[in-house]
Amino acid sequence: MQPYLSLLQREWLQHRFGWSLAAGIPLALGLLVVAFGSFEAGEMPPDPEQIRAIAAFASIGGTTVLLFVIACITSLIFMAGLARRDHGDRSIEFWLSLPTGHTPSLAVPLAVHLLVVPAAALVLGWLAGQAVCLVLVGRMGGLAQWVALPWAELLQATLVLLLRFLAGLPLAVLWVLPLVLLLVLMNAWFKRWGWVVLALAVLALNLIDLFTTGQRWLLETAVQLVQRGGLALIGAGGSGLSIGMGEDPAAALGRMPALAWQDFLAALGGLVSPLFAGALVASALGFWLLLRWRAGGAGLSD
Amino acid sequence: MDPNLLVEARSLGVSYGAKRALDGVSFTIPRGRVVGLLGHNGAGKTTLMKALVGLVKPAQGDFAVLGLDPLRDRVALLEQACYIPDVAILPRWARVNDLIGLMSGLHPRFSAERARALLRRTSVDPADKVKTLSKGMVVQAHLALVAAIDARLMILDEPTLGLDVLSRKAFYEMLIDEWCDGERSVLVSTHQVEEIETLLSDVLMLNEGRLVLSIGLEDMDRRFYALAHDPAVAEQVAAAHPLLRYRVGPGSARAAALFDGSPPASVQALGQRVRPSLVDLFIALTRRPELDRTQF
Repeated sequence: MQPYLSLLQREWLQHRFGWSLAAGIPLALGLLVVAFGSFEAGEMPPDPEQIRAIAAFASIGGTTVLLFVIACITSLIFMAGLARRDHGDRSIEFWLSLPTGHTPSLAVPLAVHLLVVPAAALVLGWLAGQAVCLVLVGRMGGLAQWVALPWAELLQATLVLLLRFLAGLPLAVLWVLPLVLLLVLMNAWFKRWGWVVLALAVLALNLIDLFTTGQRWLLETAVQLVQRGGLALIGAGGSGLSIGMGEDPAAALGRMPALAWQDFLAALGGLVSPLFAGALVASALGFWLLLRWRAGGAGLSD
Repeated sequence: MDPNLLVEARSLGVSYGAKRALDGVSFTIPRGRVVGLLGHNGAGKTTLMKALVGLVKPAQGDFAVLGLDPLRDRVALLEQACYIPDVAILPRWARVNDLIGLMSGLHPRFSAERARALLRRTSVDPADKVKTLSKGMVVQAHLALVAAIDARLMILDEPTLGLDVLSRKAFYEMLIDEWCDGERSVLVSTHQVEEIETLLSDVLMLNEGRLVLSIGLEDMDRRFYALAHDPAVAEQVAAAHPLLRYRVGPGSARAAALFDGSPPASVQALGQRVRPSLVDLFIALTRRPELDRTQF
């Protein structure tokens, strides 16, 4: 267990500054915009209480999703260079000289950047969303209105939303993992040309597919994996939260737990499919190829 | 395997595609030895060292390091053998303290306390970031980290390459003072042969992937015969087919010849026996292809 914890610590030590910037800058900008920006709203409910509740929910949920999306983008960029991240300063030879197995050395950064960082971004986003909510609602109606928000329902709804994302995250990662590992492998095998080779390979295979079968099976499969990954996070159940005109916001927010639970069950049910089984097999193969590449010297003799 | 042997290689061969980097290399390293690995650039030194720590897969031969297969038992092997490659390779983003903390978790035989004590012998502060250190300081820090591992074998691939003379001296002083204890062994490759000759107990010489010499330094003195002589008798000495003829002494006034084994008594009488230097022997064994091909 200790090597895994130390490898986790290594990720923190190496990336803490970048992570702080990736989270801190958008949050600061968001707060500034909310504090000093001007807003134009479309059709809004006549009840100011309802407007404030919607604004509070949107600010907490929006901040959570914003940080999550940023974390996913930075993780994707990181994944593209994961295999050779220690080759630039040749510290790969230092890491390879330590008695750490290839499996934890590869699995830990994958887990950190695919699971831990997005999950941390969700939690941080939810917490920071409270501050954004305070500024936004405080600006709309003063601190008293912020205190008067339907907090029990609001916290319950946003926490449930947060938990829904957190529970769906591992499922989403499993859906998109074959594509992520393909990206990592391309970088391992072809260095900085990995993206180019991958793009050319996708184009060539797609054309072959199109001319031989008349379909775009490969491309469609890749698109489906991404779509199913997204649905595993939210939306697998097909229905979202809506607040009708004049509806009591507390009652609408109160529907969130049941909606989220149904949505998660639908995401779980989606795993029972040949596509998901294929994704698991492809991921296992991709990870095995990465292990072989690292065990063969991690491209040091390239 | 003999428990006294830390490394045992038989007919080791490594290929990179069509190129043979190592060919039929056989040698042993007993405990308590300081072994110099000499060879020109591209001779196969780095490949041999990487093979010993499981970073390169041999195409042929049997070998065991600390009784383990470096490829199959890489993790167990690296718990008892430490390795410093040929350049300053500590991660540039880390502080030295970070590395001490990480190695404490990743290496079961690493002592953080000892690493800090060793660092106090250097000009490196544990709070320093690696990227702010000079190359010599990085190498010193790396040695301090590695020397804090309670290992049985240390493998050093050109560890002082590109360092100034003071840094090189400090490096080898720390290595001998703080790590070598008569039980542990060191395999070190370097081009600064003269500087470490006095530290070595054995020497391995590689040439174009083949081992041309594996010998203890006491045996080297017995086996190789260097004859210092007057230039006037050079023709007679050359007729005895020495491995190498060279000049010695101030102003190169004297000539010398290096023989594998004792030359005939009539040739011995032409001069005085002197101790052959490792550099002369290295040149003799690696510069003439027709001699290089011979396994000693």
